[in-house]
Amino acid sequence: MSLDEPFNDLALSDWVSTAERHCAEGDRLVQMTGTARPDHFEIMISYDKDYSCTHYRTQVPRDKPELPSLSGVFLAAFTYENELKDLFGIEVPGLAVDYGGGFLRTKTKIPFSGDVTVKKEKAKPAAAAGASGAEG
Amino acid sequence: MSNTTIVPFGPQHPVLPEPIHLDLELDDERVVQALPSIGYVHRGLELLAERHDFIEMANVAERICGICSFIHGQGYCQGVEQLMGVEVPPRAVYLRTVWGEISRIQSHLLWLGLSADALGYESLFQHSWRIREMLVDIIEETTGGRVIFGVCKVGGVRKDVDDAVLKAVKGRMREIQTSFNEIASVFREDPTVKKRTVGVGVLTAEDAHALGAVGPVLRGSGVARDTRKLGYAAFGELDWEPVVEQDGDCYARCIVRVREIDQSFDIIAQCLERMPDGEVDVSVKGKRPKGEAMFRLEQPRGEVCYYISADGKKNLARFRVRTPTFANIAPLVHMLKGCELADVPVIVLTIDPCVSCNER
Repeated sequence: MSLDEPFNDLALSDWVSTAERHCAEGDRLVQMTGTARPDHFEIMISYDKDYSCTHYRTQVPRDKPELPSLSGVFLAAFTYENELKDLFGIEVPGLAVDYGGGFLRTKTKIPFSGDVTVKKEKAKPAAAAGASGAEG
Repeated sequence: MSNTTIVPFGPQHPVLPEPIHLDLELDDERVVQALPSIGYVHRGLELLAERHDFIEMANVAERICGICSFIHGQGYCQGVEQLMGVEVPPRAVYLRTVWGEISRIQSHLLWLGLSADALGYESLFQHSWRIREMLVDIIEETTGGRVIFGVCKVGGVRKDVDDAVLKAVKGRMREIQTSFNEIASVFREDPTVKKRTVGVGVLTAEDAHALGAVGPVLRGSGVARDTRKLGYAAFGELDWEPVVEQDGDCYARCIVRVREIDQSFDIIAQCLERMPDGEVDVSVKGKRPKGEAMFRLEQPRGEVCYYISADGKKNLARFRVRTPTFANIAPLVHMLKGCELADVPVIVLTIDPCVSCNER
């Protein structure tokens, strides 16, 4: 079903131009989502044409969490971008409909910021590292 | 000086079984702009995947929503099975397809009842839910559950259904379909239903595509896209085509659901006719998912996407669900622009908003 549709790495600078290309080719925006990694936010996006998906992944640095908005290309992006803003705390300049962090009324503000999503692996002592692998 | 008025719609409203809020900016009775806000019942279920065993997580996935519960469980299990390279026995695949289509019918009947209620047809609402109840009884008899089926698991299904029971189900499904056709004609032909829905909340095919609409909202706008065409479960082996209506209005979205109910009865009949023999599960003991992928299925409300990332540990690294209601928010905002205030409830209802799904 989908294992033959890999995620392609994309430079942040190519984020908008890639969306414009897919829009020009008549593709549909399927989804956008993020994952908090220890050193950056990973943002994923999927475009679809004739039931075939193309996925991309870009990195947004934690020290400057800013993702250019695609809502000028695909208006549908505004909901996903507001969600990224509310769950991950990512700024989205150029957002067509900006809720200012109030789209998702979560009890915990920015719940997926990374403090609870992915923790840095603790450095293991050299002797124990070789014997590990039997987690949980 | 602006002469507009802001009217709050929801989070509690008679047509909304679950909370969603819209700020409606009105010029007299006409909607200039609608601004939605969600999150009143956000549960953070995606985060649980990072803490729970991936086998247990199938139970959590099924609890994302009480209406599309089975298909959420099925989507999660299919995704994890693919990452583990597990092949599910054909009988389990067909049973999953049958339960998934029963879910679709009961979801559409639930929606038809709610829409009848919103249009002022109390008896039609009760008849829709009376027929839905017959399906829920079949769900209970074959799975043990009525809302949460609890039969889908990583590796197959938890219980088999005896062939004699399946034969009886086939006969009862024909009776339920006959009962449904008696009320379907009201949705198709009643002048008041048409008066409230024809030409209301129009979404063109171009706008539906550009705004990322999915499910009956998309197909009601003349776009023949149904994720079941990917061929997952048994859909690749069955004879069916997406249901499409051309007008893009509330009536078209209603008729897509009415016709999809008939189609699901037919798909179930095909599955029961071709039901393979054999086991219903395979052991996944000692196996763990590794890798990442995006999996898509067609829920009653439209395409749902599951992103699963796993690194070979007992819990997933990331589990993300893009629900059909979330995808239909942008089209909803577009449809509401320029409509009459009195039409807002009907338009909101025709995207069949599932807030529990949305706030997983």
